[in-house]
Amino acid sequence: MIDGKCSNCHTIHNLQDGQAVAYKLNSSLSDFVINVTSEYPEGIPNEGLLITNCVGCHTSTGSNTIVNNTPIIFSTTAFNNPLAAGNFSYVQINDAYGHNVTEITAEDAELGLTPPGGVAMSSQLSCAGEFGCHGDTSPGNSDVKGLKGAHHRNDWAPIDGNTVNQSYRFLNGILGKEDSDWEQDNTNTSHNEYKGSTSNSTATISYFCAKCHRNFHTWEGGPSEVGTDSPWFRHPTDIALNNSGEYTNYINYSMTVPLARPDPDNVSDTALVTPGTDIIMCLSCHRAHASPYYKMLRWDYKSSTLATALSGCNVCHTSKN
Amino acid sequence: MNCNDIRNIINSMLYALCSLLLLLVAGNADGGTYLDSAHGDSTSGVNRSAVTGMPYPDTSSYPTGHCGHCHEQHTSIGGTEPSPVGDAQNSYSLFKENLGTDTNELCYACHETFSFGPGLGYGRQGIYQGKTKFNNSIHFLDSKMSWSPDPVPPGPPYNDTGNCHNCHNPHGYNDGSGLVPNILFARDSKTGDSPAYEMGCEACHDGTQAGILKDIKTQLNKTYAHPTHTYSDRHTLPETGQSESGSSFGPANRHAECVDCHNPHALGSLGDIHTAPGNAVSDVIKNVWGVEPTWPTIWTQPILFTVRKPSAYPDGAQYEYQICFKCHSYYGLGSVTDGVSSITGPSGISITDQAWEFNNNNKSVHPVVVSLNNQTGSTTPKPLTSAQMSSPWNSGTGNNTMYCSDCHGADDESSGAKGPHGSTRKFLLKGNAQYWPTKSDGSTLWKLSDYSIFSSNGLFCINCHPIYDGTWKNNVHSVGMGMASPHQDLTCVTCHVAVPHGSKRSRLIGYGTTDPSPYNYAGNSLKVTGFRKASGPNSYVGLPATSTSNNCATAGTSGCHGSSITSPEP
Repeated sequence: MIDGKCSNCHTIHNLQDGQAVAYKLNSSLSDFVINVTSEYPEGIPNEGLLITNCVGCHTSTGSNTIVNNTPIIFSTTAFNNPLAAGNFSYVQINDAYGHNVTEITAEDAELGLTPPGGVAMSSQLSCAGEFGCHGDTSPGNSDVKGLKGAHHRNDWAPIDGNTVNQSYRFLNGILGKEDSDWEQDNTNTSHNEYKGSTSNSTATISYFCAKCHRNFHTWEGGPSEVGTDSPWFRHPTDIALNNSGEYTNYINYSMTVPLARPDPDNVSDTALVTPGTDIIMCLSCHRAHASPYYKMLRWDYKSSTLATALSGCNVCHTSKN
Repeated sequence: MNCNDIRNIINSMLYALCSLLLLLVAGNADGGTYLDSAHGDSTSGVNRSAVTGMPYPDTSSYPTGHCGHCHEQHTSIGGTEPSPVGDAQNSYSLFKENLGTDTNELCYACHETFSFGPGLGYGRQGIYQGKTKFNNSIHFLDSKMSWSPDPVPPGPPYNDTGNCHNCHNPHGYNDGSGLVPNILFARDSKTGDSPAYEMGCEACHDGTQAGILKDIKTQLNKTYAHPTHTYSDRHTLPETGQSESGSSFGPANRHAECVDCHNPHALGSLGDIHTAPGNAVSDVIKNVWGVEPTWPTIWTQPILFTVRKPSAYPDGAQYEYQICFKCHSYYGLGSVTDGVSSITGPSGISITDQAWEFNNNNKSVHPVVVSLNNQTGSTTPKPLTSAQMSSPWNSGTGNNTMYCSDCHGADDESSGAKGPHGSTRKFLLKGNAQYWPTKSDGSTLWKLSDYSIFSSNGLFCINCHPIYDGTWKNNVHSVGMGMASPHQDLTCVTCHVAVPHGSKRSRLIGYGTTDPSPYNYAGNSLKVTGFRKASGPNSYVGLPATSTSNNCATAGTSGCHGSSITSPEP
């Protein structure tokens, strides 16, 4: 929940002392500028009387990735310690490095508006709302409307998924346990706990991804797309890490290849993995926003050094190293 | 700190140590050798982008050996289904289906396209010889060709007849002794294994999956067997022989692994041994490499060989003997004296050079290489008569050829696995009669006077040669029968060589004065000193002893035939 003065986020008339208040990133996304045009010299107002949009608040021109307790999802300059979802700055390097969110980059040159494994969208991906990930994604919802009120309300436990603000990271209906520093410290003793399920739950993080990438998810894609058991057709998600063979060697929770939990609020030791119980998810391999690697992967899958390229795969597939 | 504290500490340490050991064992069991395997090699491993003629999007930037060259995790690369375009998602996220009606199509995508040296589609050593041969082999066609229920070694988690994965683990497999070569699930026996076990083949060929008639493991564990279970770590590729300045099969490296005689990828469609007569490679030994000697002068050692390997010889050996000669000739043995090597075989007898024995310029041979009518060194009459042969050899006499495995095989071929893998009989002698040159007691030599028990007591020769079936088939054998005459008490090896593959003289006659053991049984059995082939089986003349027209000379014995005959064979 955001606290502090209302004017930190809102403006009544979008003017202060005759000067426009609303700001945005400049055209090169290198810094902030007052959001004016020759047509609107008094400034372009934002929905919800906001002084900027999602990206405007969650962007930093500095190197830190948490600023005033605000998680930075886009850095305009070199930064340290990216957060759990990564940093959208990478998608500016390569379309394949991240989700192509409007405000930050154009639509994917190769994929267009069609998410892999899914059907074409009618508009480019946004942060929230109908075409976004966060908030209420009901048709017609803009970013702001989708998140309306979420920042004002209690957003800590219980995360029960009943409301946007009590959903994991404002992902409506999704469960999980939020790390207080968004995994900035990147340690397996303190990290997000993601909800996974092997029984058709609609509260899992992978189910959420499948809303767009349907065919890649075990029960959303179904038997014809993913299969029901080995041999799978596509790499399954929302299935338990097998408790036999090579998988039993994955014991210590890896921040490179994290696993979801069936009950993220009651994990006895966050630093450990329990094969047979813990669950493979989309975010086991991918960052949610962007990474410095191909297909938003959590490791350099296309490294010219083979061992590096396979280093993520080998966390679970321990006999393939 | 009290006693309980100390006990708890010790227990904790023991628990930690046990846990560590369990982890190490688990690590071994699960391998972790992909990057060391042929497919995972960062230089020569899998690389889909190198497959010609098919569009495989966006994989050229994967390093060689990368998972993505076979698996595409979402079966979607850059939003595009893997080629061939329009193909559905495949098992294991493979870019081509590899199971069911598409068995091995993924494997073939590379292994039919790449040339590893011996020819397009051939593996580096020419053992894998392409899709067409494999798909026509019993190892592809037989419904039993899927992984057996045996949990060790761990096969693929599915049954797919004819799938490469039934024998190969494409990721490599660590069996606790390191990476199993050739991306196989299992290796041949290792030093110290007891019992020895060719796991790769005998996982099925042990009387379980392949059935009792293909139970090779039992055969190889018999007393007289090819040294498959005997040695370890001697089979290294490529194998070369003495004529190539190699010593893969030399005295210090004797071995006989399954693939030295069989090509598991290119067996025939029936997977059976031959039907006599003939000597062309049979189904079970098709597409195995072999050697063809260049024949030197009579009774000398062939030292020049044509190595019949791909790519010069895409099908390898043409005749069975060419496979046997890899080990049983100069090619494997190196130089020998008088045809006899210094290596003692399982039957306790020195191994001989069989290319030497079957030399086309020798006076007499069993027709393993060519028919007797084509035996250059033989003199007329070259073959025996039809009456001297049993079926099927009594038809087309002189024009037939035979296999080494017509004589050598298992003692129980009527009920067990066929072939010269192992036997309870010396020299792997097979058939209804299995003893030579001694009777079943191993010491009493056969005599002509044993004619009434030739069959019942198992004189080996009787399988093909009806020496006596109420009448004698030549007048030498019949001499003195029923009378107090020397011939009925003569042992077979008094006149014939004890290794009856071939001889410097006609009719497999040996000379006691020149022939060494084992041709001369125990070094002293041969009594003939001169021999000249007669015009027919009943035309032999031996008396009077003073006649130089006799066909035999036996100086130094009783003098029955005298010591001097006209034009004896040298």
